[in-house]
Amino acid sequence: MSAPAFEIAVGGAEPAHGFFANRLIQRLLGDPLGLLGLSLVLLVLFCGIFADWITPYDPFKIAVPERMQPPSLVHVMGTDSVGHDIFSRVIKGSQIALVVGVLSIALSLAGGLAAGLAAGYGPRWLDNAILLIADTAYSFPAVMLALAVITILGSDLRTIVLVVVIFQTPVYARLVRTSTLAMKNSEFIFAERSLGAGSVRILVRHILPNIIGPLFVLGSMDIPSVITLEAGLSFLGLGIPPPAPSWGRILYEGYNLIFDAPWIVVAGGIPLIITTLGFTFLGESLRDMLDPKLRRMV
Amino acid sequence: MAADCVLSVEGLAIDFLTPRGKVHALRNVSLDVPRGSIVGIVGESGSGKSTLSLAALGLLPENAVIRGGRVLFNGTDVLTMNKAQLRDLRGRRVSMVFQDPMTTLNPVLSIGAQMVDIQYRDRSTGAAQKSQKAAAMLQRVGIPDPEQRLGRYPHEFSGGMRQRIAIAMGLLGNPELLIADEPTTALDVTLEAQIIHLLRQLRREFKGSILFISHNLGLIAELCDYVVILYAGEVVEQGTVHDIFHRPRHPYTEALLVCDPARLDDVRRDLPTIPGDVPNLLQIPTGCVFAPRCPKAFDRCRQQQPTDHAVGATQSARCHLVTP
Repeated sequence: MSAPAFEIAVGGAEPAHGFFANRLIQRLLGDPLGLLGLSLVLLVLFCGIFADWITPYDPFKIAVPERMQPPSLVHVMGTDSVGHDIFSRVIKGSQIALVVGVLSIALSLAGGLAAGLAAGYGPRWLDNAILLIADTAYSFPAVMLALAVITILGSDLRTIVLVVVIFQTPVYARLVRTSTLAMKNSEFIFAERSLGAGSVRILVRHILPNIIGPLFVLGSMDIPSVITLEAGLSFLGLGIPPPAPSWGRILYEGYNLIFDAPWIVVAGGIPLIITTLGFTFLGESLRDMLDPKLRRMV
Repeated sequence: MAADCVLSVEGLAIDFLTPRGKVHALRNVSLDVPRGSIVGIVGESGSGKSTLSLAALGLLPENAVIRGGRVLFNGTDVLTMNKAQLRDLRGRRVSMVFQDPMTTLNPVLSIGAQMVDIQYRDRSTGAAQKSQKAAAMLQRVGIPDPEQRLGRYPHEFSGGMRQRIAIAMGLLGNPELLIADEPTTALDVTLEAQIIHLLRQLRREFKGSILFISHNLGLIAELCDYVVILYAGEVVEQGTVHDIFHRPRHPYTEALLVCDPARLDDVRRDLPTIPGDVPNLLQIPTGCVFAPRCPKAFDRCRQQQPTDHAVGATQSARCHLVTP
């Protein structure tokens, strides 16, 4: 009665399938800008992971006799007003920058992705509820929100991460929701449903790959701006409390001494520039790689 | 019609709720798809062709209301199936090929990934076997070098190739019924001929049934065994291809055949048309739906709705003129 009607014999050669991540890295290496971005990001990652081994001096060691020294072979980036070796502090500061930047963006992306998919693919009431929450959170000015949260919870690394998550999650949620809504009504999703795919399969296998690329790129480009936000908060005196060597704090201290010791501001700015450029180049390169239409074959 | 039917629609009536009112998209539609046959559905835009095919998959949009009738697939009513039964039906028993091959494949997944993924229900084989099966199916639908092509993305294929891939994806689940909703409308004539040739070949080799939806009479005549003529949500006439093309009994069918440019004997400046418009489906006129445009209409047509009248063993028409 219900014998398979369109059956086919299985045979033939093994298909050529490359490992996806492998091919991605190969393509990344073929793109000069992407390669530069990757190297800069790897440099920052390296500093963050091995900070305690590669700093030439203890970044917390106060050496008043050596204070306010301009860059030299002994102190590559000079010293600050209490004699900290700034180069060591810059390297150690990459840990804070990475935790704030990468961790908070990763958390926001995960939260935004879940909320956005639920809002876009789920029932109407869920969409409205999620949208209301997202809009409420989004309507606060970033710095005001940060000030409020820091006033209540006190300023430390976790608070900063929390602020970023509160502020970034709605952004990603809205983006994911919009893309999901657009995908949901597209013909190929309908075709998949007609072939028997269930909701979870459609979300994970078909909608997600379509929106993950742009989201990834956006996230990687947001990492530097979050690091800058932390620097800004530290600059306002609201960031991670001293003596933690955050880049924003180094900038802040340098700003106060800009006429006496201009190298401090420069030393605080260089890692920010390197990180920003690194993640931005990497992000742009990834965007080109992840979109099959823009993809250049290696 | 025939006793052993894969799909048999009985008195199906579907409304769409719209801001302007209820659109009576299908009214009292009955048709059968005998096992192993190709049934063509002909109709103008908005005649309910697509609604009918979506009903067969249980994929009607949310604003559709089923007012009556049944859609029996192997004797089970699709309209009362639960979600699990519907998922089991789609892809494995009934597959669908859509109109525009440029938009029916996921743009960011390679076709191999999509073809392997759609076999997720088959837990007995590994990924390698699944992609072998995908390659074999691509070969089957006439795509050369299938192993190499599996790693390619949809945009790297032409429209005709993509439609072949879409057909291959539809066939991967070994369905008993393939619904092809205007599969060649978006393609140019050469490719159209190739796709039709492919469908015929597949039917011959696989003995499945095909529900072929089109507004192209030439394709229907070439491909199908049975023809169903839809007009404004009603089946006005159905029968074998021979019945419909040689002995049409409904004035609408006659008019359609006269208007088919391929069947014109002489070269004319003006193509023949059917005067008037398709009735507004928000307010169905009393009497016969075709009466306002029918050259043979008489008083009774405007007052009383005709019922289906059998003409011979295989043909029936919903027209007062056919009354025995």
